[in-house]
Amino acid sequence: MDSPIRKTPFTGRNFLLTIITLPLAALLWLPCMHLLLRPTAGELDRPPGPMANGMLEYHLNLWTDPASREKEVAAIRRSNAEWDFMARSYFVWAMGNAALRDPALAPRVLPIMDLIIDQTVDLEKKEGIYVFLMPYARSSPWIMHPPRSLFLDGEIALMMGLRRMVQEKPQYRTAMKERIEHILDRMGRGRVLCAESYPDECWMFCNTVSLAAVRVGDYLDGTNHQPFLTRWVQMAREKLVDKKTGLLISSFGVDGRSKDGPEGSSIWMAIHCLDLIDRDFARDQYARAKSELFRTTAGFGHAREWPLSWPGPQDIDSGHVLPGVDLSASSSGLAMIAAATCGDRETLGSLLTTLNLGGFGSTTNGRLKFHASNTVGDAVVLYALTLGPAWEKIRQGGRP
Amino acid sequence: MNPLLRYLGAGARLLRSSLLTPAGKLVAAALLAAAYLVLHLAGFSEHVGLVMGTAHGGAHLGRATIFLTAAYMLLYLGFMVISPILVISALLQAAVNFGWDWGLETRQAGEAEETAPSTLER
Repeated sequence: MDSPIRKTPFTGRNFLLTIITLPLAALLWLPCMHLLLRPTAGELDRPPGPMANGMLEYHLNLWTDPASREKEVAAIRRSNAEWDFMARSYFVWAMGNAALRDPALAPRVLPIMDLIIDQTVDLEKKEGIYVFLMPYARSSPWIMHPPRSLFLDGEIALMMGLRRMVQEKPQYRTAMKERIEHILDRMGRGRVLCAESYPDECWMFCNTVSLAAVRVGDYLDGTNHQPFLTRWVQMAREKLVDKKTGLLISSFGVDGRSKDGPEGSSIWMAIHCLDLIDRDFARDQYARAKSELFRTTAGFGHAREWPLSWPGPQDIDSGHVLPGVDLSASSSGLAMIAAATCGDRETLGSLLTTLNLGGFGSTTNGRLKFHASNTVGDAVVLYALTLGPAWEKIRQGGRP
Repeated sequence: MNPLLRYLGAGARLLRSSLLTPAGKLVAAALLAAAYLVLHLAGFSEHVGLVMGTAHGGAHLGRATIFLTAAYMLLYLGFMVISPILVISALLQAAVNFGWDWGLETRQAGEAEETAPSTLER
């Protein structure tokens, strides 16, 4: 008898069987596909696993090799100066956490952390705050004077803080204290205890990163800004929460008037930072954000940029949005940070599964790069895979 | 008719008819995988971010590179989604064909036995 596979005649039976078996095969394959792409339990339980190590190697090489670094920085700055700055921040924060988890890494990452911090501060000093802001920052007047961006102050202070947590550096102690003084002064002057990142634009993302920097400063320098932090959370609960979703809004004026409602690319990072300030509030926000923004399709996790009740545009913050499922690249990446912060392995795993499908990752010489992403996207994922030790250490209390 | 169109038409008919058979499905799945592998080894994954617009600096890319990178991305999806579906479909269809033919042959053998004259009658 001929093998059934080798029979090739065009018959009505083959046509009928094709109509039946193709959908059946799709029904069998599509719900199972995520199992092949899911990160291993070791990746989620004992980070940093192979994925984090590969990404760390890629970024370390980028900052060790001046030619690669210049090429990458020039490329990312062509699209958005903010992304250049944020890629630096997330990478430094990731290295800080990686070195806190594995002290043997410290001699290797500390020089790179210092290089990035020094270069960033030098650029800001030489070219002013606009070097890392989008062009519209020059189009309207700042409310608070002299003009400063909380976006820069908060992230730079946190970079210095995490570097100091790995190993103290007196030069950064002074510089970080100065930044925190600016942060507290300007946030204290705002009607809703928030300061501008752009002219008359306060961002929840930047204000919560700044709060985390203040908290890290308290831990490192023995200061106590707990009354301010508590007051800030009370104010946010009362004045900066969207009534429909209960989620923190993403941007508002210095007077507290809302500009944008809750936004994925803001809320996930805010949750991560607030976890250090008020854990109950952060967990409540996480539960709400997950319900409003997170979806799973056949095992692939993805996050929307805007809740259904507050439809917003696709913009530089949302990144590319995949129509149909409303998958926002930025929101999905930052959701990994919130999921990792809240110990939600299932959600983190499903988001990484999606990254494994659509990220076009490839490893060369032990360096993992997701080709569909860019430097800031990769740095965000790396941070999600390494975070934990810094917040844990601060939460345990005591002094470094 | 233009000879090229004639050949294309014949190719399409052949593909359509072969895709209905288990072997044709396996060949199609293998072709998708092979085409993806060739473009992957040729390094087209490097340009994905530039073509998608997530990375910048793609102004220097030629039209052929953009086209082949887009093809690479489609072939990747084909390799991940379509190829396994074709393989599973081929296996299911082969199993049904096997069962069908086996059933048919068993029935025919039974009928032949029933109609064959017994030794006594002879």
